[in-house]
Amino acid sequence: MLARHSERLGRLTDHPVPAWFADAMADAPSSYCVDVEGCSIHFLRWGPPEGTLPGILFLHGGGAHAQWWSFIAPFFDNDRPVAALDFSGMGDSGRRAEYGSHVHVPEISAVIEAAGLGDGTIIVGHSFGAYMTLCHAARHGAQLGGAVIIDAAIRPGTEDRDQPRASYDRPKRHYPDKRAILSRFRLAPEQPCENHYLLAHVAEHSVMEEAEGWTWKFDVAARGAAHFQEPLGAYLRNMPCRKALIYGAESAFMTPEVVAHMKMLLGSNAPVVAVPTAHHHLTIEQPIGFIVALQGILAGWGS
Amino acid sequence: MEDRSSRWIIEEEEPEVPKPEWFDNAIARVPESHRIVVDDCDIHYLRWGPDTSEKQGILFVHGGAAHAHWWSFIAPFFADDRPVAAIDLSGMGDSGRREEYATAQRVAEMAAVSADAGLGEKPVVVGHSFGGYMTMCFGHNYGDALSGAVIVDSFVRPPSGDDDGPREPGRPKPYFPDKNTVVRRYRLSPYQPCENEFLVDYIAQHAVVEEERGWTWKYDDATRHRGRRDEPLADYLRDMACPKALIYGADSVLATDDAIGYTRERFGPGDHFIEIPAAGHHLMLDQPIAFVSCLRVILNGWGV
Repeated sequence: MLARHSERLGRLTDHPVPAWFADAMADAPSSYCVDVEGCSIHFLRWGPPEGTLPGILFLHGGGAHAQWWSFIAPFFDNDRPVAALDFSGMGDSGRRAEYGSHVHVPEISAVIEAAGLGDGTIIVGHSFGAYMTLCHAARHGAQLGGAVIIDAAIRPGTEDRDQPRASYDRPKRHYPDKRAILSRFRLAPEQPCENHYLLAHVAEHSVMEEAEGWTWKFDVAARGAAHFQEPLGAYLRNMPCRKALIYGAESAFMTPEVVAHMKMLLGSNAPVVAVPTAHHHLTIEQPIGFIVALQGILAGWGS
Repeated sequence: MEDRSSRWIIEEEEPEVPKPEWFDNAIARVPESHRIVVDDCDIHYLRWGPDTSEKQGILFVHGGAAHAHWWSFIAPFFADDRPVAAIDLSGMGDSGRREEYATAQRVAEMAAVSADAGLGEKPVVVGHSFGGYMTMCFGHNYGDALSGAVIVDSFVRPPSGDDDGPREPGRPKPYFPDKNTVVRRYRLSPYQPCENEFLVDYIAQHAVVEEERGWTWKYDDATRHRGRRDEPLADYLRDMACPKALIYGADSVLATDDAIGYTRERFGPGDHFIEIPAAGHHLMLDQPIAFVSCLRVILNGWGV
């Protein structure tokens, strides 16, 4: 059952924005919630009710949210439905006692259904969202049109599973006012980014006011390392749908060894594209380069 | 103590245009400069990359009145593991001049550079604007010997289109007293704004030459008046024997709905036909990183 919020999405105005961004943001999405296993999952939706092309679902990174895609999605929604979800424990979705791919995969399926993305949906996931893309494709890949992995490293061997990254266990701080918390927003891992208007946009949607003051929307418990127990390399190799990799040429994660390993898992037919000058958060750092790379991959797939 | 009297001297100097690190890194990969003779004309080209490679090479072809250095900040992104060349077409850049310029000669120049630069059995040709039209002609003649042709913001039009008339001859080239003055007068044609001033400044620096009468543009006026207009480009494009792709700027003054529609009909459903947001006709100046990303996707899709 869908509950529609027709809120108009706000953005910060104290950074100059280029025309392309203003035009993209004018294509404002509708905001919906769908219940998934007792948790309210929020998603944004752009495009026609039904498309002539398969839909696209964008999946954000760890601790991030659907609004990371709101200046990207409008470049893809002419002929198709496009959605971006907030995983449980992040963005404007509800919270759970426990998080992991066992709940995030059903969340992905539910939003594909609720947003009417249709058969052959293409999933585009960044970082943590890419790992969830792999977990979803391992269970439901035959129903997908393709999966695009954005700057998510899969290392040779079982290193990731043997040495899972520590959970994010810093308690969330509270700040006295919105200005104070917004000034604390940082990309993780830290990297250069000259697009201050994009940082301002994602920061604006990363914060909320609670009784104790302003804090980050994400639930600390949702930032664990649950997906590292999954055999992600095998998922990538065995994925039954088309697959592609886009990464930042300067990303700290995408070492030559990792890229070579992932190319081997992807197979020789899968597009692998390095966006020059970009680090891990390439969608913020080189948005136009990312958009064009994704459009090129979709065009090559005839979708 | 501060020497205030010297301040005016500092202000006389041209202010340095700010440049990002990636640009400095790309330009630091200085190409070799080569010359060959094609049909009695000295043809200059730039070459990056390894002497030999298993990967097919790339030939970049500049637009009208432009020059090979338009590609100096693009080519290095492709030259890690393959040979890459950028030609100065006759009458432009550092190439020689001819009495008359004809498409057949340009095609011969491209073929000769491709061979001399060792671009491999089946190189990829990437041409911008006028260079895109030359690429269509090259693809018509040598399509079997290419891995692909990438057309950058060049559109074909119906035969009855107004553009088929001969161009008015331009004004004679002006002369300027010094290099800074001529560089400052540099304008993109067709004119468009460009936020990447460091790129416009860079190509302007390479667009000028000192002659006896003073500083002026390198290109020969005679190259501006004729060339491709008598060729059935739309047919060449449709019938090209190699894979083809088109990249255009969303804000290009040439990318009208009619031009896009008519050109797109010459492409198949599986061909890349990609719009770069926030880019005009000179899209590799507006969005150099996106242009490189886009070309990488296309080469990847062709398995080149």
